[in-house]
Amino acid sequence: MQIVDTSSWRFGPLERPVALPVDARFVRTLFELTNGWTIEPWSGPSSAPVITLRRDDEGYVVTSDWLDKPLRYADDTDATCTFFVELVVAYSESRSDLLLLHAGAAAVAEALIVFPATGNAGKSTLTTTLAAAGACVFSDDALPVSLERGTGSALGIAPRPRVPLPAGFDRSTREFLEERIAIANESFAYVALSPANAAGGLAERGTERPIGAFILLDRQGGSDEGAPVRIVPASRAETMATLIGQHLGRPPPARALVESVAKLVERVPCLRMHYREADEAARFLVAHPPFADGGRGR
Amino acid sequence: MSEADVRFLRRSDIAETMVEDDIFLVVPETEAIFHLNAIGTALWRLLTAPRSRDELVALLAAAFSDVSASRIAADVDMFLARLRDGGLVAAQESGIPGQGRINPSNRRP
Repeated sequence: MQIVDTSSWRFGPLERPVALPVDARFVRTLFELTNGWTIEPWSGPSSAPVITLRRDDEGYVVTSDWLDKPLRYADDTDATCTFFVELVVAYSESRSDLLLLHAGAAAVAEALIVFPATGNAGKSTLTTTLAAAGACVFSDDALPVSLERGTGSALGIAPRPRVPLPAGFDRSTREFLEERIAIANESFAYVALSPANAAGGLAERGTERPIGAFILLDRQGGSDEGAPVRIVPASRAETMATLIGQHLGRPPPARALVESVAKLVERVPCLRMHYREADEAARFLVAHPPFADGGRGR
Repeated sequence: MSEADVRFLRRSDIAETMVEDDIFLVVPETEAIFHLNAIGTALWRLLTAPRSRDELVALLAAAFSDVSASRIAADVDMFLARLRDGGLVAAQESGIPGQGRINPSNRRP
């Protein structure tokens, strides 16, 4: 007798199926944590899954076209994280026109604030709290960017801040986040935002907005004057080096990458934000979008 | 050959992109990208002609008078090592112009 422990699903726009545990709760959680992916039982021709996430007695196992060996996880939160990473890699393979930046991003008004990854700066927590403050989340980890158009597009995957949430968060931010936690372990939680291109929502995959500002994060910095949030100009060269050093996926030819990113940092404000609490910083950014044109789009 | 006899010369086929005072270099055959700060950029500019390490330190110390000599010397050593390792700069023996790059393959007996 063959034991069926996975079922095939379409995760459009991927052209091959993904295999998921036969577990309605698990699949329902993936629905809750995404926006703009066509998730339905696979009805296409028989094809090897591009990603397989299966469950056994010890937890979860993830395999994919890009993993050298299966990765094993004890809980659903970590397994879901790796599943989403592989999903993004598969998606980016089909979109060679986009550069996959290691960055968080949220839309305020009609433009994106982009936080390139700089160590343990807290981009996921800040991106998530931006939703609580009224922004629309595009990504907390990887942002597909069109260097040609100067835009970023949403991945439609929920943010995953660290937990426990900082003790300094105000009550409204804490309640907003805690009410929306879909799955969590001792280190991370997935926050299921409403699937909407609107304040407090998770933007639909593929939604494109102009990049309004790059902000390098300095969570420890604070301010000598006592202000909880301070935004200052950042070196364009430093921002460019960060962007080039932090991209994910398959890069374009190096010379084209350097020339394109140089043009991008020339026309997009490059800033550094010193802050203490992510929720304070998020409210500040929503109230005072740091865009050259006030966030009306470019 | 002592270090004092070595002169360094940059390759001429490296793509350059300036951003503020920094330069980004792309090595065509490896696709490697190098980011040099203001001191590194000035050093790169000086390497259009063969120069010794001590000559580079002296020229940069004069150009960056607000930076300590020890910091300049350390930066020159660091950047020369990076650029040589990356294949962007070749070393020549002093007094033998036109000898070309030192390459293990042409030093075989």
